[in-house]
Formats: sequence, C-alpha cells, structure tokens
Amino acid sequence: MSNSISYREVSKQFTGQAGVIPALDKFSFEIEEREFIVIVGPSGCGKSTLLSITAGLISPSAGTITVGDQLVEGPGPDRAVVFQDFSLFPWKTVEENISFGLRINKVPAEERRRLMAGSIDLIGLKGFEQYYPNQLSGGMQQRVAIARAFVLRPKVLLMDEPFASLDAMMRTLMQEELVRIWSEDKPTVLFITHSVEEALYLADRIVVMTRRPGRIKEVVNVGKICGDEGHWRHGSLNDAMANPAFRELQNRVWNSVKEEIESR
Amino acid sequence: MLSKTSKDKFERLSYAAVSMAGLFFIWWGVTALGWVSPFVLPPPWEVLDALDRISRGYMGGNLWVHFSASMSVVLSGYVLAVIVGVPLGMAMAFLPVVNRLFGPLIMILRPVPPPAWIPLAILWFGIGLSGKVFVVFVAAVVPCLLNAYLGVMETPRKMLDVARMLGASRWTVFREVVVPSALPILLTGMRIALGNAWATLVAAELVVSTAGFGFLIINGYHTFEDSIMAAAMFPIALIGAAMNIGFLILEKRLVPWRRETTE
Repeated sequence: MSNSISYREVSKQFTGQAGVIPALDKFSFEIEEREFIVIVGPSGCGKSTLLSITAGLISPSAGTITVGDQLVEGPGPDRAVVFQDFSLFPWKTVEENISFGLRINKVPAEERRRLMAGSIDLIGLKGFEQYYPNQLSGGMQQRVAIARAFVLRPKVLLMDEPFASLDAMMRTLMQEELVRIWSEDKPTVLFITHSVEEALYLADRIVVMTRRPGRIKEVVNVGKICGDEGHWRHGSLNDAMANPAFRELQNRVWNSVKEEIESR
Repeated sequence: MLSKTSKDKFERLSYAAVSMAGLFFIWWGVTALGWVSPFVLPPPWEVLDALDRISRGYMGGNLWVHFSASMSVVLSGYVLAVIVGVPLGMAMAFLPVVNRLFGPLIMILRPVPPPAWIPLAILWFGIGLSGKVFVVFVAAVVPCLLNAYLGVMETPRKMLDVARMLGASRWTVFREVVVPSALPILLTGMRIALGNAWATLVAAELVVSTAGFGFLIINGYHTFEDSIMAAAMFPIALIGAAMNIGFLILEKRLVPWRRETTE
C-alpha cells in the first residue's frame, strides 16, 4: 500500500501572457504499488506537468496527490526523478553524483560505500567512477542518472522521457536495462514518453491522455494482454515486437494517440 | 592526443611571436633609420637603458620598490572588491529586496569610468594609499558583483530541482549546486576585475603617487625622458599579462569538470 499513488481531481492552470492556460483538468487515477505506469499523449497534454506535480516541484491548482498515505506537499527523497537531459551535476564525478543523495541523507560512510559499489555494478560503469559527466556518452550519463535515482531506494520513480535524447540503438539497450535495474527493487514507476513502442514494452498499464487540458482518454492494461507467460518486458524488445499481440496493441494505442494529435 | 595539443601550442606561440617580433622590428627600424625623432619615439636601446636605470634605482627606489608600491595598492583594493562584490552579487540573486535596493544604484554608477573617481578620492582620502585603494576598489567591484549575480542566476533550474528531490536542504543546495554552478562565471568576473584594477591603478598613479609604475611614467613625462616613460610601460604590460595568465591557470584548476573530454 505504501508505494501506491492516488490522484484526486488534480487540476493545474498556468497563468501566462496569453491568459489562463489549463494544463490538467480533474485528473483522477490510482496507481498500485510496484506498478509500472506509462503515460502517452500529444505534446502539451500536461504529461510533464503531472510528473512535476507528483514530484512536488510544482503544486496543483486543485486536488490532491497521495503517495502511500502521505500527501505530496513538496519534493522529497521518497520520490526520485530522471529527466530527459540527465541533469547530472557536471562538477561532480560519477561517484559523487550517485552518492550525493546518500551523503546528504546522512547514510553512514560504510553503508554508502557498499551501496555505491552495488550501484556502479548494476549500471555497468565500473572503472568510470572518477569520470566527470561530460567525459561520458549520453547512454552512460543516463545510466548514472538512473543509478542516482535508484540508490536512495525511492518508493516512486518518476521518469520524464528519459531516453528521448538517445539514439535508437542506445534507447533499446537502455529500455532493457531499465527493466533489469527496476526488477531489483520494483519501485512504483510513472514514466512519460512519446514512443508507443516504448510504452508497450515497459508498462503494466498505459494511460493515454487527451489534448490540452489533459484528461485520461483510456487506460490500456498491457500486463493483462501479455497473458500468463509473464510480461514481455522480461525478454528482449525484439522478441516482444515479434509478438502479434504487441503489434496489434501498438496499432490500437497509436491510433488512439493519433486521434488526439489530429483533433482540433 | 598529447602531441596534437603540444603542436597546437607551438603553432599559437609562433603566431604570437610573428606579431610581436614584427612590431619590434618596425619600432627598431624607424628609430634606427632616423625616420622618427628619438624625442617622439625612443629607440629600443634607449628604453633598455632606461629599464636598466630603473632597476638599479630611480626616483627613490629600484624596480622592486615600484613593483611593491603598485602591487600592494592593487591587491588591497582588489581583495576588498572581492569581499564586498561577490557576496553582494550573490545576495542580489537570492533576495529580490537586495536586488531592488542596489540594482538601480549600480546601474547608475557603472558608466562612470573608475579614473573619474580619482580627484574625488584624493579629496576624501588624501594622496596616501587609501585614495588609490578606493579607486581600485571601484574599478574591481563591478565585475565581481555582476558576475556573482549572473553566475547564481544562471544555475540551471533542473539542477536545483534534482538536488531538492534528493532531499537537499537550502544550505546544501547553495554549497553544492549554486556555488559550483556559478563558479566559472564568477571566476571570469574576478579575472576581469583584476585586469581593471591594475589598469585603473596605473591611471591613479599618473595623477598622484610617490612610487609605482604610473608614477615612473608621469615622472618621465615631467623630465622629458620618453625612454623612462616607455620603459615603465613594459613591467605594466608584463605584470598585467602574468596576472591574467595566472588567473586562467587557477580557473582551470578550480573548474576541473570544464576540461575537454578525454576520448
């Protein structure tokens, strides 16, 4: 129960020069504990707003969000964020970036070293501990960002198009890697993407959003469609894509998103 | 990789040598051939001779005396400017009240060239050390302040968000995110400030002083010794350039993450 997320009529308006722009309109949804939720929808449908509100970086205009039984009132280490541009601290080495959260949350040095070693191992960056982010490739940087988020054992992981700036090959590798890393601890995940394929591969459930102001258009239960043999994300992306059910669903979700992009 | 950078360095030095040697030969040529009167442009050998005279002791002191006279004023004014300018600039970035209070004042005072303060500084502080320290301070404080302000303002929003998400307190965010993020811009401001301080000091010494390189120039002017005037300009140039290069090395040291990517 403690890792579930519950949205109750969450609305958000931005006031700009063009007047009041509604970004989210009475968004209500329940995310279960350890669920991997992927949100897709046209640009400007309030996906990122929803993520920022969940992170506590901006507050909703109306409505409430609870993580477990805790009302979200600000940012905190129980929820970790991974952004598209990685947002590593350029002045900190790989090791310093990952251990930053542990250090400021007063994790003892001994424990910190142990967690660090495990974390570096998990993301396969042994030998790169003393490198600065600008000395690493995009894929490596994003792995560090993921490790920095995971090392605090957050209840909730918030990912805002984390692989969008990677090339296609690196993107596939990172998707498979994310499943592996996530399986270690299985935090609840809220993942935003523009890629239907990525959504289908990763999600337990996909939430399709409408055009602005963002509302839920439909919820696709991918886990249920995967069937008894288990979720296809535990195999390779290629194998998943070879599955007829995957392709059929891909069409369905894409058409649903397309409808929103084209509606005016 | 290494051979490439050293080759680069060699190439850059060669270009620099060409322009410097070129200027020197023109200078040497026009004076040696008598095209320009030595009273207008002193020939290189006379300047060398004047440098030698200064270094052995000229107008109450050798080169070291003039050097330390100039340097002590520059450093006092500069350090004061850093101590005042950097925290004030940061405070302006953090607290809108401070920005509203001091921002317009700085905008008004900034266009006044620092040497314009010299007469007032003499009135207020006399012809001793403190008048010149004040003028140097005025010249150095603005770049320190503006770049401290700019550096803090340019901290990427995402970095602050990430730090807060990881549970950082405001103080931790300041120390471990804002300061390192602002550091490159801040250091650039401090380097510009040092150059301004040095240039302004020489101007101040031209007006009032009893030792220092500016004093040497104005003394040469009063005694019609253009070779002394020219000779005193060499240490000014060299020291100014050395301070700049020293600061650039310091910047590289303090900002190691800005180093080129190693492939």
